[in-house]
Amino acid sequence: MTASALVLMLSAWSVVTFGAGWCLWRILDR
Amino acid sequence: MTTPMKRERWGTRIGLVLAMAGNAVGLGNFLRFPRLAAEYGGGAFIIPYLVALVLLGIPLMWLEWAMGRYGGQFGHSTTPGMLQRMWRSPLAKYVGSLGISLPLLFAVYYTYVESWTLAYACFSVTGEFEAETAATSAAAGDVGVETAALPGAASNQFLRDYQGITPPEERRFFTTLVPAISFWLIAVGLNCWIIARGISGGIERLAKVAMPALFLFAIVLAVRVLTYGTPDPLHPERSVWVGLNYVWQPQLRALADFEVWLVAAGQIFFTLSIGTGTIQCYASYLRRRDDCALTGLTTAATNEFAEVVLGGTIAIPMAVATFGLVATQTIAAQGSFNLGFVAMPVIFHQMPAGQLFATLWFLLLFFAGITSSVAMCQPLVAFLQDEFRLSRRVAAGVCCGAMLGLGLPIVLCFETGYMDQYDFWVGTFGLVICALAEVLIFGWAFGKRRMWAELRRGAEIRIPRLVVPVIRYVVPVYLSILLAGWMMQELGDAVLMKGVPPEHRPYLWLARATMAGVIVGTVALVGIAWRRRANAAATSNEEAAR
Repeated sequence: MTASALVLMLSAWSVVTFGAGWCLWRILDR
Repeated sequence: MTTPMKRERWGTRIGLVLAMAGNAVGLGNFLRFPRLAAEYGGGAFIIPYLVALVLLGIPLMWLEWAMGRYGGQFGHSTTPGMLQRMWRSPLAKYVGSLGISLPLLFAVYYTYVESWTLAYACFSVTGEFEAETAATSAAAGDVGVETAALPGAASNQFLRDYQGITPPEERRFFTTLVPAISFWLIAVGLNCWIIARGISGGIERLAKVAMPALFLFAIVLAVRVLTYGTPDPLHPERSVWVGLNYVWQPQLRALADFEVWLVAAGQIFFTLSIGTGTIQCYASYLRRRDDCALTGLTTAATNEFAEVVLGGTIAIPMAVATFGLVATQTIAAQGSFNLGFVAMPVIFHQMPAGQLFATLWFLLLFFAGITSSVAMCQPLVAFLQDEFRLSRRVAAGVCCGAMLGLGLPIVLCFETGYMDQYDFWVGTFGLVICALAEVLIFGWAFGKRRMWAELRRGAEIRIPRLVVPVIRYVVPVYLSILLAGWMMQELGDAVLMKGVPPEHRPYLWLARATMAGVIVGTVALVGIAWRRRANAAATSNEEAAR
């Protein structure tokens, strides 16, 4: 796997995982 | 005046989030997205995809949530009433009727595909694929490595026999359509049974079971893929990492291709279930002060997690690790169904504990499918309840009858491309036209101040003010470009049925006539409902005057 593909994949995963996690945490926290 | 019926509500907030996420997460997350990402520029596809998510997906998601909650205050669960409240033109309710007819038409063919996933889950449990995979291995051995193209030769026939595409004398696995019809009837029956149990007792309960199970299965499969490595040491080029590289390698030249932007925006529409009228319908069961901003964003984010992280990890990398890159490209080019129903059974059969993983895969697809299809049935049921005062059970029965009547030709005439007509006209054009109408009405006819107030009411996160010009200017322009692009690229050939054998054309005309009939019929039903409302109001006024 090339470095650029790996960086892009991990960045996209991080963004969507953080986004979904943050939203769910905000909802469950209430 | 008729007494308003007691309005149903969501039982819990997490139930609402799961139901909305279930509506969004569908077969497209696991089959369509990875195929498109791999086909249209690999990692570069994700850039237009994310741009479309931010500029189209999230604003439209908020808009549809706010529109649904607003309509719910007046007892409207569907778009005819909602649009009529926002735009005082007699046309509004008829435009809104698309929010009933389109999801019904969508549900009709989607449920058939959903029934395949149920059938394949059962076949996986019973080990039905063994004979075909043995035949496949022999075929692959004969033709050599990279032409394993044909990894799906027998598996493909299995699917074609099941769908009734293979000529009767050449069928090996299924001689009749009885299995396909049986599983389709089960799928339709399940959908209608869930709908009949109501919002909280049916849809929400389904989501609370199906969505956690879906995520669990998807995570188990994704972990299995990531630990699959290079299954055949003789072919080091066939590995999961080569597959992930294929999906994520940025081909920046693709960014200059207009079609990539078009496809990415189309996928955002498809994946978030925008323009179907289903989000408004679910949101109409909110209370006036309930939050839309955070809850809407959560469903979009949950859907993106399922699509980008899980959907992108399972099918394509697995196929590359099993068949190699060239064969996977061939499979992907043949469409999402080939990837999911032809290649995946072969892959699972070749891996340890494959029967278990195959079952998980098809159950995952089934759960993704059914949580979306019940949402598509709901607008018709809610409309019949709201406007014709039918009980939920009777309304669900009418919906079931419509699904069976409209769906039977799809099952029986599948080989003619009957279902593709539905997918093209409803799943491609219909959704964008519906979204364009609602954004113009909500963004312009409703008024800027009222729109902004409606978006912010009860919001638990701050919606950026920038959303207002985005909804009023950017989204309509984006949608118009999308529509124009599709028209230029596909409409001519589609209308003229280019490449369609002459003997199939009458069936495709029948499909078009049926779709037109449903749309016109819904317009007529809306007209009747409003006349009844007007008569009821007049009677009530007369009584008050006496």
